[in-house]
This record gives sequence, structure tokens and C-alpha cells, in this order.
Amino acid sequence: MIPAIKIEQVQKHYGALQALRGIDLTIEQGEFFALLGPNGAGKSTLINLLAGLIKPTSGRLAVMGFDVQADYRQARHALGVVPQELVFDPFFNVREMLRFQAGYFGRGPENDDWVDEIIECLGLADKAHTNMRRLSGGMKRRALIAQALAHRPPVIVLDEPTAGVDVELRQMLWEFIKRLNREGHTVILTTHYLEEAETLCSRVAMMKQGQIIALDTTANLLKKIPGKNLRLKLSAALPESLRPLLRHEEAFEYMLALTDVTQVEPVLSQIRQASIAVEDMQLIEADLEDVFVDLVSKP
Amino acid sequence: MIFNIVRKELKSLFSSPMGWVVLALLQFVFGTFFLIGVDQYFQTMSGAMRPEQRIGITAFVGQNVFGIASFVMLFAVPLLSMRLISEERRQQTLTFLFSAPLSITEVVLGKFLGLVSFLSIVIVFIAAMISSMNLWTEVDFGYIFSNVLGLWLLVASFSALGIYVSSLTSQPVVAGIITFIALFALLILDHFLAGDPTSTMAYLSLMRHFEPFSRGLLDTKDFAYFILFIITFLTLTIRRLDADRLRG
Repeated sequence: MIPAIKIEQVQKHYGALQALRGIDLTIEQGEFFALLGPNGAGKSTLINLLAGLIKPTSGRLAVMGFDVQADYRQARHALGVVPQELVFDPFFNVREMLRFQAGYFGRGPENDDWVDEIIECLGLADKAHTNMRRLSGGMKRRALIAQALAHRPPVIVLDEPTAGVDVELRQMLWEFIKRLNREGHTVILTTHYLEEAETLCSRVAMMKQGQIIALDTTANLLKKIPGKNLRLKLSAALPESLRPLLRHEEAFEYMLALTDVTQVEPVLSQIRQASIAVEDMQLIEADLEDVFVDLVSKP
Repeated sequence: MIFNIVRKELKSLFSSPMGWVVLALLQFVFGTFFLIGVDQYFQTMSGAMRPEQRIGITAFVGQNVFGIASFVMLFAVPLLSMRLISEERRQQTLTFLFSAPLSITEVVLGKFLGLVSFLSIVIVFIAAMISSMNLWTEVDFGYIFSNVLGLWLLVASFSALGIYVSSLTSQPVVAGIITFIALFALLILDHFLAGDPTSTMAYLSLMRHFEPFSRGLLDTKDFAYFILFIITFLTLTIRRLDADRLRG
């Protein structure tokens, strides 16, 4: 099957700055894929290259088998991008904006049923005739998602779609996006809420300084770091013998990284031997955030 | 899909007070000059004027209205063209157009044709106003056609330069001011260089090429000049936006 996204040796330079340094990435059709990385890692540059908003310095990008440069019309037909910023045309209401957007993709009145469906699914029905300027931040975010979907693209890129969005709307958006994914749409997500990526995405790429530093299934990435975190609140400082396990500390609260649950007992025994009282204790599963922090903090 | 951009540009012009205000003001100015022209015609022609000095009502009223139209458009076009690209750049909405399956040429042509379509409404109104004299007299439709064509080419040239300047900045007001200054300079270039009619610089004057049309004369040289002017500035706009895409 043709991959939804194929990126080969893509580099992007802005003068002396290397925003992307030879990215290779393949995303299969139907995947729910997360693209993670700190600010300035190159995620938005990669998305802009896929959308054809900028040109790569070298390398090749394809969407559903269509080169984003040579076959740009077909490639853009196959892609819907939800931008990070709340940008909108102030002259139109939601329905007009969606119809114009679909029109850019050559879709006429026959697409109106689909426009109505996404308006309904995204809870915009009572705002369909409201000018974009008068919408709240959350409603504008929904309208932007609707805009990216107006031409029924098989591949959807969501660039920080839930930034500044309340919990209720976030859950509603994810339900809708999950439904689209179940219906066969490929979804590529960038987010700073790593728990979202962990819950939703089957595969994750982590970027740092224009390179992909990790690319694997979410499950495999979670296996890459010690399996458990032990949070302890002690009456005194942590014994020196346990310092190699330390991930994070704050006052007398310590987070220790354990490879196995069987390590708990030896740790507690060393604390007892040092005559330190355990005031509170919690055993936490390692999550994607731990993997992210671990990888990103490496030099 | 170009048609869709044209439609959107027209709709956005009519969605804001700007479009309606400009249309109303232009129509008021041209209507006033039309009435003054008709009134003056009867006053002038009823006087002691030799028959060979008399000119037709179409030319008399037409030069009044089309003359002022070419000057007034100098102010109207920058007002309308300034936001075409710079406003979208400021609002970051250009990404919607650039991520659609449209070439930059189609985007630029769509925006250009949208503005020219709007301005064509004004020109159609002027033509209809002068043609309405045909109800009680014989009107020289050839003269009207020549002036309408000349004015349309002039306005399209203004628009092409306006859209180019709009692509250079994200500040619509700056784009408007620069467009006005550039158009004004191009319009009166031959006045500065009146002493040397063979000067190449004077040949660039837009008014010099509009003037034969205003006399009812269709010259392919003037026609070609306007078309080249339009193509040049639209190409520069395309190159400018393409450079943006390359640089990111």
C-alpha cells in the first residue's frame, strides 16, 4: 500500500540555521501518528513543507504517493492541515468560510452535505452563520479543524490542535478525530500534551534540533526507559547509595527510576537502614513524558 | 478554481463598508461630472460658436467624465488593492490559499481579476450613464468604447501595480501609500519631462498611453503597453510570493 506520508532525506536551511537535518519518515495509511519535540525542534517546518507552504532545501516529500513539489495539486488534495495559530478570514461566517475553502479544492455545491456534517459533528451548528470574528477561541479552533476537513482529505495534520482549549472541548475534538481515524483517515498530530499522544497515537516520532531522535510504536518507546517511577517523600535527604536511581528531586521529595517492581523492596530497605522515615510513597508507571524528557535532555 | 478566488475577493469587498463606500463615492463624483458636462454642453453650444468648432455631446461629456475617472481611480485603486495580499499576510490567512491545490499564478490572477471585476462595475456604470444620452440624441458608441477600454486598461494597470506593492509588505496602509505615490509618479511622468517628447522615461507615463484612448483612438502600441505593464507587475508579484515560499 502507498504510504500516506513519505519523507526522504529532507533538509531545510534558513541561511546558516539548519531547521531540518535529513529527515526520513514513512507514515502508513490509517495510522494515528504523533510528532513530538520541544519548541524549535522543526515540527512546524516539517508540516509547512508537507503543506507546500515552504520548499525544502533538498530531499523529497510525498503525500499519498504524490510529490509535494511535482504533483502539488494531488498532494494538497490529499492533505488537510489544522494550523497552530487561530487564523481566520474576518469577512465570512463559518459556513461561507468552509464553502470557500472547499471551493479552492474544486468542490462545489455537491460538497455541502459534507460541510453540514462536519459543522454538526464539531458542534458548530448554532454558529454556522456567525462571523468568524465573533466566535470564542474554542469555537474558532473547531472552525479551523472543520476548514482542514472541508475537502475530505485522507491525511489530516493537526498542529497543536488543543493548545488553549478547555477539557470538555478537547475531549469532544479527540472523539471526532478518533472517529475520522476509524473511518480510515491518517492522522498526524503534534502536541505538547504528551498524555494525549500516548493515549491516541499508535506510533511516535520525537524530534530534536531538526532530527528525528526516536521513531517507534508508543509501546516500544515506553519500554525504552525504566518501567516504574517511585515517588518518595522522606524525613531526611536520600541516602547516597540511591542517588544513581534519582530522576528528579524537590526538597525531600524524590522520584526514583526503577527498572523493575522488584527493586522497590531493596530501595526501602536502604532507606530504613539509614534511619530515614518514609512519609509518603507512590509507584508510578513511566509515561511518554519520561521518554521525551529522557531523550530530549540527552546532549 | 480561479473563479472561486475572484468570487471570494468580490464577496470580501462587499462584506466590508469599504467596497460600498468606494462604489457610492465614485458614482457620486462621476454622476456629478456627468450632469455638469451635460449642463455645460448646452450652455457652450447655445453660444456664438462656429459650426466647425462644435463637438458632439458624447465627446464633450465623455472627456469630462472619463478625464476625472482616470484621476479619481488614482486614489480608489490603492485603497482597494492595499489589502489584497498584505492583509492576508498580516492575518496569516495566505496559508489557506497556499496549501490549496492552486499555483501561485492562479492565486495572483484570482486576486487581480477580483479587484478588476469590482472596478469594472464602476466602469460599466460610467458607460451606462453616458450611453443613457442615446435616449434623446445620437451617441458616438465608438468613442465610448474607446474610452471604456482605455479606462479599463488603466485601472487594470493600477491594480497590477497595487497587488505587487501589496505583496511586498504586511502593512496594508504602507502598501496603499506606496501604490499611490508610484501611480502618481507614473501618471504625470510626461509632465516632468515635457521638454523632451522623445524621452524613454516620458514614454513610460501611463497618462501618455491613456490619452489616445480618451480621444477615441485605438492604437495597438498603447494597448500593448498596458498589457505589458500588467503582465510585468503580475509576474513580479508571482516571483515575490514564490520567493517567500522558497525562503520560508
